[in-house]
Amino acid sequence: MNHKLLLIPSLALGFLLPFTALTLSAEVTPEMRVEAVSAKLTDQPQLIALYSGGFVCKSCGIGARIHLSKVEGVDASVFDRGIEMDAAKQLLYIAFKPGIEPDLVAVHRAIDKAGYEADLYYRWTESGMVMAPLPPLK
Amino acid sequence: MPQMRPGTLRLVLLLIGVTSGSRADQPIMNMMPRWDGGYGVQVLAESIHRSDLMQGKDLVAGGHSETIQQLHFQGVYTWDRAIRLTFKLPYVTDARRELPGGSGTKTVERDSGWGDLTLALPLKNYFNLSQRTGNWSLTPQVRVPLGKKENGYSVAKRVWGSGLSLGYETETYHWLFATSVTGWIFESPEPAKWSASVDLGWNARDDLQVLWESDFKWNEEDAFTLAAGPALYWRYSDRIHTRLEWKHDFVSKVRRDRPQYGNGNRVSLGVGFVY
Repeated sequence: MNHKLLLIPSLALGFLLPFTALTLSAEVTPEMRVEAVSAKLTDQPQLIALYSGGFVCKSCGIGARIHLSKVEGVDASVFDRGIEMDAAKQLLYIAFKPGIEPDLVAVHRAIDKAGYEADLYYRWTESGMVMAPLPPLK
Repeated sequence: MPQMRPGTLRLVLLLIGVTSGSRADQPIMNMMPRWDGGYGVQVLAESIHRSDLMQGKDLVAGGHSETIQQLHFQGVYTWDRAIRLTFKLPYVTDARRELPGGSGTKTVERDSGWGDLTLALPLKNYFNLSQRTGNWSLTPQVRVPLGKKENGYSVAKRVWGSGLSLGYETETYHWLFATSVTGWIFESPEPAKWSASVDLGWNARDDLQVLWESDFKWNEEDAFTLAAGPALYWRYSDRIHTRLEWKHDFVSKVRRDRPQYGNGNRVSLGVGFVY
């Protein structure tokens, strides 16, 4: 077979697939994120979770681990240097040392330096799961 | 500039366009680092084999090939997500080409040594959507010759050049789409070049991406190449990243006014380190 014939379907796939794929990608709903976060954070007040829109690729998100792990009080002995990434749901989990009150402005600054925006954070408290925007950067 | 004999000049001109240095790919693996203060280095081992000496679309000497083995040393520093500085420096470990000799024989010529330096300043405008990220990029580039033109076979162009790339890429958890157009102008007599690329990637796993990449290249001497093929990216760890790619010249039309090597295959294996 003429090898050039292979190119035609290849190029067609190359142009058409991305658009269909982007359209048809399974939607991750806020409820699915809450469910995932609840399973991880319930009764774990030293953990917080971030929902960062656009955080879909662990390789691109390496900077999140680099910058978040430098936030004061992060417990490097938990997860990988204190950070776990769930790119499928655009979630980042941060482990703090017991008794440490997380500096949410520092967390926000770290995720900004990593090239992302943090839309929400989740945290387990005595009154249940808290879901709120991170405080603005100063 | 020293005067060259016509035969020497022809030989030098023959070599123009044989390298793939006008590619828009940037370290590290075209994707990292997007974080402030990030930096990295990578080394790519590349093998190019062009199987025929051609003129336009026609064979001048079938089976007279050119093979180039080279290493690419590349690095990047990211000030913040919007601004990077990259360098790319090739080193030809061995290049050989076969020229038609008398009585059906072949003459073999060889080359090795450092190539020319390419500096680039990728400017990126990132966007983060609910389940998708991406960026538009504008990349001014400059080619710095690290030596003078020499008589005989030389893979490096040894001329100054400047280029500009415009790119767009977007990625979901499962898919990547990237496209770019690039233009280069060089010192005379190097012809201006344009290229475009379309890449489609599928994230098979969190640490594994399978791509199909297509590169279209033109120059003002009416040459055109369409090279396409698969690529594989694998993240061994946060710090170590690898990439394997193969490209085949599906369409290979070299300049019409003089012979050049065409009908090529290119294989590249790279490892990158990011911090």
